[in-house]
Amino acid sequence: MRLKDMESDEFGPVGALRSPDPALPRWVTSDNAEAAVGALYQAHALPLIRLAYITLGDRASAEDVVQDAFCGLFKRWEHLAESGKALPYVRTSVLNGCRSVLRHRAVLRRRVTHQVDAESAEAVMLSSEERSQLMNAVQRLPTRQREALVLRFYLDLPDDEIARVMGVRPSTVRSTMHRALDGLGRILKEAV
Amino acid sequence: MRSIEESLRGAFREVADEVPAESVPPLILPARRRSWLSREAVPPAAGRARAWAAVASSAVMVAVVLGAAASLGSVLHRHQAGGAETAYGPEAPAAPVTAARGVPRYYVALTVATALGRAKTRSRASAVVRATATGATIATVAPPQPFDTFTMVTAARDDRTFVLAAERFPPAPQVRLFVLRIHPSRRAPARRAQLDALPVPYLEKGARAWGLALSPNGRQLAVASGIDSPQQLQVVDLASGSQHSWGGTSLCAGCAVTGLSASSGWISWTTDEQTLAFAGAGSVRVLNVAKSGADLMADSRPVSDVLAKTWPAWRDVVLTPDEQALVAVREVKTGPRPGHAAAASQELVRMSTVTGQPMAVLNYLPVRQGSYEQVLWTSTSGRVVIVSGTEPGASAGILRDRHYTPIPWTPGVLTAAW
Repeated sequence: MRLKDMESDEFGPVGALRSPDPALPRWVTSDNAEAAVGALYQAHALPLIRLAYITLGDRASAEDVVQDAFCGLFKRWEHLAESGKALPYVRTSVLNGCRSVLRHRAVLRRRVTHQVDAESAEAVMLSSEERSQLMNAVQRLPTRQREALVLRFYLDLPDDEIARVMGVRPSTVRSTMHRALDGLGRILKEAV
Repeated sequence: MRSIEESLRGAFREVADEVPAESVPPLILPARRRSWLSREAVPPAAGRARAWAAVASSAVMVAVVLGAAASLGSVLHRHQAGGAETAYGPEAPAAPVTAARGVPRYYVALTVATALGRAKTRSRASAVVRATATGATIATVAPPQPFDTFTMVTAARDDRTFVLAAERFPPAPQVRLFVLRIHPSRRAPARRAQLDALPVPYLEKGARAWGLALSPNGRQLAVASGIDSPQQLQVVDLASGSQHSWGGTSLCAGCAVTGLSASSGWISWTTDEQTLAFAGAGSVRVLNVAKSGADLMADSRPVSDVLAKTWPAWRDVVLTPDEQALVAVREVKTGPRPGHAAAASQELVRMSTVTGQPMAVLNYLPVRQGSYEQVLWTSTSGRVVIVSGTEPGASAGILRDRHYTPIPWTPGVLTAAW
């Protein structure tokens, strides 16, 4: 069968199996985890790598974290595909992966006198002074607060979704966000 | 506070944009082990009784499969007698296929997420590396962004190097070629496959890859490309990047070429790597790629009689590496009988390039709409062949001395290369 032929409708409907993610074609089911996870990766890898990059400031680590998250999804596909939990699972995995990387870096910093090899995104990339200050301030926030800010202001997720990804209650998200913005304001004032 | 929020959005976006969309690496998945009696097989609410029922029905299935396997030896003959509908049953043997001896151990299958008959528009195919004898998945590679699907695959004879064509769906169609190197023995699943873009430029804007053939040593790549049909044939030296193109006429005028799926089916290299065989102008022709020239028909010579005057009588014509035989799928029409309409069937034949006459009919199966066999691999002499059928069997197997042995297969495979 030619792929070109498959682009026509001659084969009719493909059944009403539920796709794990609205961005995926309807034919994606748990029957073929490889292709389904591949399609999910196609649709969401870029924003997730960018999310990890903002958090970690290091492209290679960001790509590794996202790769590991999708490998984890692939292993647990049977439990996640039909319940629509695939994407939240990957987002949570990416955040957990970022935390692991940051923890590892913190340990390295304590053990060695020189700075670890990974350069921060803002140190390398930032062009404007204001943005540099802002990102420095974000990096000084506690991990949870930083995550909440990135999920809200980069991914534009609502409180409920942020709560799901971070594994906390929506009210905790609101208070964390409030503290993060407060803290950010304080740090920026100190800098001025 | 408002201004901080706006600044945060802007800052995050600017930092994120430092990761370009086209830089996303391909996804490389590990082999996945399905749990026997998984959640899919037994829903949580089903309870123990239903689980036992599933076990019992599985046992019946195993018995049916074993029964079918026992009769496989005579399937071919039953076909020729018109007894069964297809030699390609969906059953795949659970044990490693011993007939796989002498056949490359690994292959890459372009796979969509459902059976081909149920595939809908713009199906996305991933490249799945599998073991021939057991069907075990070694690695799965998704097309790298911004590409949506893999459309073609071809293999070198080292059983480790493959070239894939990745395509971006319209409205901005784009094709790029990638080399996939597999390392099946590596412990870490993510390191078992490595995908790199070839330093070959994108194909002409709007053009598609219609045929792809990697030379046995993996040094040269033949690409047939064109917008609506194959219009030119390029041979690229992958070490130096130098290219040589032939064109001037449609490659397939008057012949049957299966197109996208026939990655191994209509361009093939001979063992000396100097000669490229392709189906064109109704016959199989050979081209000496070392010679200069730009006119495909003028620079090539036929090695077979005119195979077909009307399309589609021949499909998947492959010249064996020793250049002594052609393996091809021939469509045969039978006249109407009383009470029966005219019917068509297909037979896989090996024919001599010297005499142009069939030497052997390897198998025979009825044609269903949209179905045909693909010749996926041949041994040097063409005596061992791997073929696949699409509907209804959606299976593949090894033909050795007319004896067909199915290999583990999945229904969503578009094409594969060994």
